[in-house]
Amino acid sequence: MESIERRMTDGPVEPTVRIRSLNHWFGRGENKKQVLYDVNLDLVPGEIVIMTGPSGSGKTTLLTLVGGLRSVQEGSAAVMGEDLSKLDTAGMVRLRRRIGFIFQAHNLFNSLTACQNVKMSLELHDHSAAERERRAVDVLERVGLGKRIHYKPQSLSGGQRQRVAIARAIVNRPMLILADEPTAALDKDSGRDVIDLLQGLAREERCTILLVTHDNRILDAADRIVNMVDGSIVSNVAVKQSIEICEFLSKCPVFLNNPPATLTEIAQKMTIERYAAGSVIMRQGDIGDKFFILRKGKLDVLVRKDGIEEQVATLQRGEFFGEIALLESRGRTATVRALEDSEVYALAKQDFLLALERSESFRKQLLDVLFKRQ
Amino acid sequence: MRTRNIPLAWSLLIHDKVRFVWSIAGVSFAVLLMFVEMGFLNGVFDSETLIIKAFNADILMVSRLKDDCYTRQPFPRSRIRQAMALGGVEAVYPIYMEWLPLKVMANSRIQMVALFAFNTLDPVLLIPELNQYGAALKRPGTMLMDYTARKYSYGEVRAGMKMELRGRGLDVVGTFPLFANYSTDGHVIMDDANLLALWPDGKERLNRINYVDFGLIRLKPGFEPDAAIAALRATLPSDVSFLTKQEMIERVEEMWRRSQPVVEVFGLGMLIGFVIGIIICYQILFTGIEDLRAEFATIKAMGYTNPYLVKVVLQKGFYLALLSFVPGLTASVFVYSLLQSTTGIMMRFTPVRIGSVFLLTLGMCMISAILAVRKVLKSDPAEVF
Repeated sequence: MESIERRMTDGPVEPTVRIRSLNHWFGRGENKKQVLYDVNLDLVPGEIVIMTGPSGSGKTTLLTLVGGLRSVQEGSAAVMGEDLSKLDTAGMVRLRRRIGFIFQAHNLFNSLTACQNVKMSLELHDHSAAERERRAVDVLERVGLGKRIHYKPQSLSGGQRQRVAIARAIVNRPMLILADEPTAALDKDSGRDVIDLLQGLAREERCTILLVTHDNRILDAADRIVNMVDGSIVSNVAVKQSIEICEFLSKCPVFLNNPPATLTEIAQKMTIERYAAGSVIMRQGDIGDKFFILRKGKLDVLVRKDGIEEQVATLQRGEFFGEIALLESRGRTATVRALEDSEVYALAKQDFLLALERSESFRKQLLDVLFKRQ
Repeated sequence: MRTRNIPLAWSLLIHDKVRFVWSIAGVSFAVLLMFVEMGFLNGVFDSETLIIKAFNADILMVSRLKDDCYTRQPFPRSRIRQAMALGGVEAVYPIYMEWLPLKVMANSRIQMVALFAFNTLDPVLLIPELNQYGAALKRPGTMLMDYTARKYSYGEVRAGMKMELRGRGLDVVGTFPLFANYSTDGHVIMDDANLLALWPDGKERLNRINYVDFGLIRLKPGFEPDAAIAALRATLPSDVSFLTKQEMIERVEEMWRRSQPVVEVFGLGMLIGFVIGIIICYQILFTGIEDLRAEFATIKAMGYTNPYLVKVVLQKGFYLALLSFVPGLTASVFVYSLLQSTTGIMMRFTPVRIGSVFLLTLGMCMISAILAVRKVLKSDPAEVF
């Protein structure tokens, strides 16, 4: 991590992946259906990015586009300096050889030994037979399978097989690793091993790892978490920020006693919004569509009564607002204005209500808070 | 040049031992089927022309109309003397051919038999067993019988048996091998004097004496058959033809092809074997690809291209052909000898025949591989995710 940060202060970092205004469709004619909407994403070297989102949200499509497995239709995508929209089929194949692919299923050939499976990857490049042997053995030792080099997948455990698959993906020292649910088929400990391995790679080899997963157990490995819904990136949170949100949430009376998992889930869905001093964040009477937590700055809460606007409170860092309109489906009960340049975390109404539904205690507590306020 | 040493195709073929054995068994069966049908087909030609191959001749003189060794088509005996007069001709051996009902005294069976009669002191047939009987056959009432003759027609044939032709008793003084075929169930060889003795007098006897079926012409050393044939044609009347043994064999084969649907029947059998082989092989290769869809898509995602995948499937087909051919051939050796002993039809392997079945096997597996490979080409690496 140190080395990355040092490099970042040295100058601008060339992203491994740069995606701009990417749109993608499946099908043709009447069946044509848009699956990606205006996707923008940068992945920098040494970064582990976890992409989450419900199935059908377009994560996999995005992954296959980045991996050169599908052609870009609209927008631009540059991967390791290659403009994907300008690559022909052969160019795509050459690019793919520089990427490490890891899948949910190990997809190893059962008829080949661990070593031979790894060599399948090495044989895509020019190496002498001796060099291949050395590299294959090295990488298998690295993933902790030094004693099982000549085992076939059937005599390995699930975790060991996935480690062979990772060895196959990393043996050519790719600068980009694309992984689709690499831990889904594994138990907790094996999943942890796999993640530790990937983290080590990102740190030592400075490769970029884009990981699609539903596995909450591995979210902590992420430097950044990208959440996709219905073909759009709805949140792209550096985890540091996510942790901050969780801290805020856990301090909010409403979220007291909520399990961290729920908090993380809510945190992931929050986006940062910036407001200059004097601008209005929400206006009394408007239909409420978001729930907010103040991240930075100071906000005034104003209530208009009988034509007179009166300041009723000042909000500080970590305080939340905007929930009444969402809960009771009515207009905003107050206006909130930035006293100084401020940043808020916003949670869309839909996600807010979803979180409510999920957690009975959350709902109960919120009602308690509201009751106390009245 | 990038070398690839991972024997992927081979490993895929042998990985599942049970499936491997069944695969080999399946394709071997198709190989066996093709060999057997080919054996039957060649058996027709081989056994019908075996007598020609046994003729000790450089040139055959036969009736202009003759296209079958087992149909009487005699020409005047005087042609033998005329041919003998030509310079360069060392000897001409006349052969009488006859169809007669043979009565086996031991079991009273009566069955038609093909008779070949000539001066048994002359080296007329290249059958080693005959040499010892030359003098014995000069005794009246003697004959030789083919011991491979069909048992269901004559019973077991042994030396010392009593036979009857045209009401006259004959002793079997010895036996020789000459396969039965689709024309006759057995062969009899006797001295021409003994054959003619079956017609003791009258016009018929004269007719028999004056007409023969074959004239076997031996040339003096240094004389070419082609030139001799040209000279014979120029000198002798056109009621006789002069052919090399090979030409006669081709003429007989051609007659069989034209008059009997042997090629159609056994050719169809071979085709069925070939198609069964394709189906079996395709099934094996197709399932192999189907079961490994994710794996193939994965290596495609990694950067392997269609040519590599095509190569793997073709290689697998090639190994399958190679490995199945050996047990298929081995089984055929047993089945051939079994069929030969039960049907009396000649079943022979030749390098050319083994080679052609091998090529058919290879073609079979390659066609299957090409059919199956389309599956691999269509696999989309984007689908692995």
